[in-house]
Formats: sequence, structure tokens, C-alpha cells
Amino acid sequence: MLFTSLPFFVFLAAFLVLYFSTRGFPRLLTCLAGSAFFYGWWDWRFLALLWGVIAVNYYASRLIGETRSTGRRKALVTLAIVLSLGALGFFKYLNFFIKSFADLLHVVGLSANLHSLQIILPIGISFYTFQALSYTIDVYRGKAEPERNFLLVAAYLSFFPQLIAGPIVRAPKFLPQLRRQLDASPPFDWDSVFQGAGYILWGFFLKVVIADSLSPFVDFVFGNPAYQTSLTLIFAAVFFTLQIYCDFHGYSMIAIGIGRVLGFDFGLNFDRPYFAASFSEFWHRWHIALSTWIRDYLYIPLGGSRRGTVRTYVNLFLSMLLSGLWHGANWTFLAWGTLHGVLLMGEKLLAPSLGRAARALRVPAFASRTVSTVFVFIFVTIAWVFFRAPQVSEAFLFVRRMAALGNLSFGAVPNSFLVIKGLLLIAFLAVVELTSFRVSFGEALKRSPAFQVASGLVLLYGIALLGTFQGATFIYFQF
Amino acid sequence: MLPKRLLTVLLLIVCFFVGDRLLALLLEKVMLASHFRYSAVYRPGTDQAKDVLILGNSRGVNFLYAPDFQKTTGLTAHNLSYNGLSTRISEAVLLDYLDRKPAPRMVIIEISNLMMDDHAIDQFKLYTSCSKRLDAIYREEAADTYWASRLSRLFLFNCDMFLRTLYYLRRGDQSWINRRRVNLDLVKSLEEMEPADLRPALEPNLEALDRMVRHLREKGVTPVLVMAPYLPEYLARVTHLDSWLGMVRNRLKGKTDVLDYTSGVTDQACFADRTHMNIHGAAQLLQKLVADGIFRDLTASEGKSGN
Repeated sequence: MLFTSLPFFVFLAAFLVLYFSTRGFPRLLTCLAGSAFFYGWWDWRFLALLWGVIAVNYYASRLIGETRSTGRRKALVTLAIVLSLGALGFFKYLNFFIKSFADLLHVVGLSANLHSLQIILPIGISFYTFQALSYTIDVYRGKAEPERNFLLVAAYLSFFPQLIAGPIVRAPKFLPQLRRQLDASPPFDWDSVFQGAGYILWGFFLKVVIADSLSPFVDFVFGNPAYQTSLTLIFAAVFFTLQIYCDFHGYSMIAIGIGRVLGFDFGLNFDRPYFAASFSEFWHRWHIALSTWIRDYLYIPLGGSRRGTVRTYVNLFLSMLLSGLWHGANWTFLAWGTLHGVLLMGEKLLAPSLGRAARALRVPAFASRTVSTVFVFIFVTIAWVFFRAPQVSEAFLFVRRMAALGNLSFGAVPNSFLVIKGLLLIAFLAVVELTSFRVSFGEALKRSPAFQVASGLVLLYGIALLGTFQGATFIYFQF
Repeated sequence: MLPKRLLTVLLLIVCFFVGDRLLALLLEKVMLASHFRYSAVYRPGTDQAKDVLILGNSRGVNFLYAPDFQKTTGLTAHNLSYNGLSTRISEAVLLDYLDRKPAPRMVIIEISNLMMDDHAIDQFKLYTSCSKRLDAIYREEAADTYWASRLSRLFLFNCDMFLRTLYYLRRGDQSWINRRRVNLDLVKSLEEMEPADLRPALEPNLEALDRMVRHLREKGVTPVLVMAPYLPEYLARVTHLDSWLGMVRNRLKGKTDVLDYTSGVTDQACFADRTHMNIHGAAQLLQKLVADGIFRDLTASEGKSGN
């Protein structure tokens, strides 16, 4: 069920009525039944898998909480990780590994009769697996209390607003809110409802107006990169950079907004990432829920930056590689993760010298930040080409032709109206985000009803005039 | 707290609907003031009669370069083709044109639009407030978005075609034609392309074509049906073209012939891609059409240079 589809609006309306007209246990059941219905709408058979992952992590966490033996606790957390990642590995990566292994055998001159399996990728599996693991690991580390009520854990791990594509929310943040909301009195808070509705509207705008307007041009060019001019490829790469941002940020805002309407605070998932002046800053602003997950459950356990320079580089690289692999079973995602790993290592290596050089040359801070931001944007855009291309070889072809700067005539760009529309939308977003560094829209909205109405009208008219309603799915649903 | 919040919501809803209707009225005025090809059809008032109308999909757009045509033949032309335009929507536009403007003397229909479904109605919804015929097709073909256009009149302006009307606010659109040259890698890739049939002509389009030809004849307008050139390397891969054209001729039962110009232009430099000519192709084809005497009757009566 897509957030931008009519069935979802009907579902949400019914859910809100039930949610706000109940309290306590009936409200908990509403959350569970609503989430099961939302997930089962796509394919009810995979509810069993979702509930299996929930059960494994619930029982592992409970047993971890009940035992004092360090060895047993470690064994239990390991078992939960192996089982959860095993399910993820089977559904998401098995065919990839079989095919890669067969290719490897072929390269060394051997051949094996290896068959891929017909496996459907359960929607949202990467998100709910990582959320479930964070719960068990947090209990193991003593950062979260093991919850005794299975239904409460199930409601947390299957909560429909953030079930399919996040944001991944940690138990210490979510469970206390869930307990509070179950017995909330009065049943809802108008401020939260308004704030949530604003988030939903902004998310909807980002998705149907910006992301889906950029998508046709991106699909067309990435489908035939060999026949396009350099300028066309540059537009397509930049458009995809903005498309994936608006698509995923839009989804997150709708999810966060629904959560807010229901009285929950999921936290931010994106913070104007394309204004980052360094690659590490980019990762502090992009998909914050996943970045912090990888930092807390992979990078730091590997030693972080505490075990010397070389080990820091290795840890950074491995973290980015896993981030790439998390996105999907394809070499393109690994190439994307690798590229970001290399960029982060390069930055760590060169940043001190560059900083010293800038100070010696007395480059103004504003100029230095602007140049860095443009530089980061260019490389992040190139990395997205690997993410979007169907194959690594095509990504290289794309980048090679783009960098050749062969034909920069706008007249040779196909679908110029789509390009102009896309550029105008990107300019609008850039102005809004740049302004938000100086003006807090949240505060302005709280203070002024006139601003609420005006901004609401701008977004609604924008959606009516420029929205795309072709039922396009969200990019991150595939992960 | 609650009344203030409710007041804000109510104000937003009222402002939305009032503003939506007012803005839509304003945009409609802008749209009709444009020099875009269809605004000229739906703008109130009588225009000077055109000698030739051209109808078709994107191949029709690039079939004839109107400024060149006027210079060569001394005749006036108005191209009413659009990307993805089906014969059925063409019929609605043509009938609207004939209702509102002086009848042309000839209508050229590029018939590869027989293969198009009606998805271009998503663009032509822009003119549904001016055309009952387009509105009926929109209601039938896009029922899911039709209700949205009742809720928000601004939604009718949510299409690339509206951007085109803005683009052509201060300039004529009859010079709209491909100017790029086909990519040589694409030409090369055609060598490996599996031979394939053209997409089938759709039944509603065949019926619409039949009605259009009959209607034009009744009005004393000459219908000319043509199949525009394809890139030769692509054409070599197209199978059963003759039977496709034969089927269309059979459906028309001798009311008019279909002129096959699929191999009328052979120079690669005259194409933008495998199915579309560019400005050079249109110029070369025009010479051929003139030489073949397509416009002879029109020019003879006015003593112009159309052979």
C-alpha cells in the first residue's frame, strides 16, 4: 500500500478513527491489526516472516534480560543476529551469492550447474530486520530494558508508518512513547496533529511533485546512456541525485508525519544533505537512521577510530561497504558503497592538509565552504550513477561519457520541457532548504496561522499543478 | 485552542477552493493567449483560413516544417500534431477546429498515430474546459484522475502541454521540429536489432480515421493520408509493413489512398532518431511531396508554385 495511493488514505482514515477512539489494550490491538493489514495488503504470506523475526528478537531479548551469564548472553545475541540476518540473507542475497559464485567459477575456467531460486524479496525486510536487531543488541548492551509484553514489542517492530522504509527507530526512544500513547489522555494533541499534517504535506510534495517529475527523464536516460550527449547525462545524474533524495526524504516525512499525528516522535531522517561540505558531514545528514545504525552497531564495535589510523580507514571502508550491500544484492550497490568508503578515507587523509592550506592562503570561510559543498555534491552525484545504473559497466560508461563533456548543447537534450521543469523544481527546493538555514519554518508555522495557511496553499497548489500521479512506487521499497 | 485550529483548517479549505478556481481562470486566459497550436484552435474569434492542416503524433510534428512549406509552396499550413497523439484524439481536435475555424482545403494525416493509445489525453485535458469532445475522452480514458480535475481545476494545467503554452506565449510554435541528428551508435545498434512488426493499428483509431475521412469529404476538404519516412536502417528491420498499410487501405474501402513515404528520405543526416525526421528530412520530404504533385490542386487554383 503506497503512502501516495487512494487505498492508503482510506486505510489511514479508518485507522485514525479507531486509534483515537480507543485507549490501552484496544489501542494496542488497533496498532497491531492496522500494521498487519498494511503489510499484508502487499503479500499476507510474508506476515509470518515479519512475525518470526519479531518473535526471535523478543525471546532472545527476554532471555538476555533474565540471564547474568556473559557467555549465555553473548550466545543469545549471536543467535538472534544469525537468525535475523539469515532470513535477510536468504531472501535478499542468496541468488546474488549463487550467481556471483558461478561467475567466479566461470572466470577461473570451471563450470558448475548452479541454479538461482525463485525468491520474492519481502518488502521492508532490511528495515525491520535492522530495527529488530537494534532492539536485541541494545538489550544485550544494557541500553534498553527487555520488554515482557510480546504485543508491545510486536507493535514497535511492525508499526506501519515506518515498517516498510523506516526511519529505523530504536527501542529506548520508541517503547516509552508507545506506552505513553496507549494511555494518552486526552486522546490526541492538536499541536502534534497539525505538525504531523504539515510533515505529511511536505513529504507528499517532495514525492509527487519533485521526485516523480524528475523520474521520467532519469529513467529514459539511464535506459540508453550510450546514445546521450554529455549534457544530457549530467542532467540525468543530477536529477537522479535529487530524485532519490526527494523520494526517500518525502517517504520519511510522510512516515514521520503519520507518527506525529499519532503522537510519536521518530526523529529526523534527512537534514539537507546536499549542503554538506564534507563526505562525513553528508553521512551525518543523509539517511540518519541507517547512518547512526551502522555507526553504533558496526563501526564502533569494529573499533571505530580508536585503534590507529589504518584500522580507522579499514573500519570506515567496511562500514560503507556494508551500507552499500544493505541497499541491495547487486554489484552496483557495492560499487556505490566502495566509492563512498574511498571518499571518506580520502577525506580523512587529506582534510587536515587542505584545511592548513586554506588557512595559509586566507581563503574566506564562506568561499571555502561553498567550494567544498560543490565538490562533495559532484562526487556524491557520481556515486549515485553507480547506485542507479543496472550494471557497473554501464555506470562506468555513463560517467566516462558524462566527464568527456563532448556535447554541451542544450538543443541536443531530449525532452527539454521535462528538463526545464526539473531544473525549476530543484531551484525551488534549493531556495527552501537554503532559507531554512536562516529561518526556522517550524517556529514560523507555530507562531503564525497566516503562514500556516499560506504555506499550506503553496504546497497544495504545487501538488495540483505539478504533482505526478502515476502510482510510482518509492525507490527505497526495494530495499 | 481547538476553535483557532479549526478556524485555520476551514480558512485553508475555503482559500484553497476559491484560489483554485480563480487561479484556474487566470491560467486559462494565459493558455488561450498563447501561440501554441491548440490554443489557436480554442481561442474565440475567427482566424484566417489555412490551406493545409497536419495531424499526427510526434512523427507528424516532424513531418512538415511550416515556415519552409509556406516559402516553397506559397500555401499556409498549421501543424496540429503532438507527441503521442492518437487518431481518436486527433479526430476530436479536428472536429473542434472545423466547428470554430474556416475549413482548410487539405488535411494531411500521418497515420502512424493509428498505433497510439489515448494516453495523450493526460496532456489534452488542458483543453477539456473548451472542448466537450476532449472532456468525454478524458472522462472515459482517465477516470481515476478525472475526479481530481473536478476537485481542483488547477489539476487540468498539470501537464507538459501547459508548459508549452507558456513557452509559446510570445512566439509561434510552427517552427517546432527536431534539429538534432541521429546518434551513430544508435544506427549501428540497429544492425543487431531483431526484425519486428510495427505495432498494430488500434480499432478505435481505425474507426476514428474512417469517420474523419468521411467528414472531411462531406465538407469538401481533401484528406491526404501518409506514412512518414523511417530511418532506412530501422525500416530494414520492420517486417510486414505492406500488410499493415494494406489493412489500413482495406478499412478505408477506397475512400482515399494511403501514401507510403516510409522510404521517401534515405539520408541518415535527415533523421533525429529511428522514427523521426529532423528539419533537413522535413525539407527533403517537402521537395518530394511537391514533386509528386500532392499540392497541385491547391496551388493550381491560386497560381502558386506547387507543381
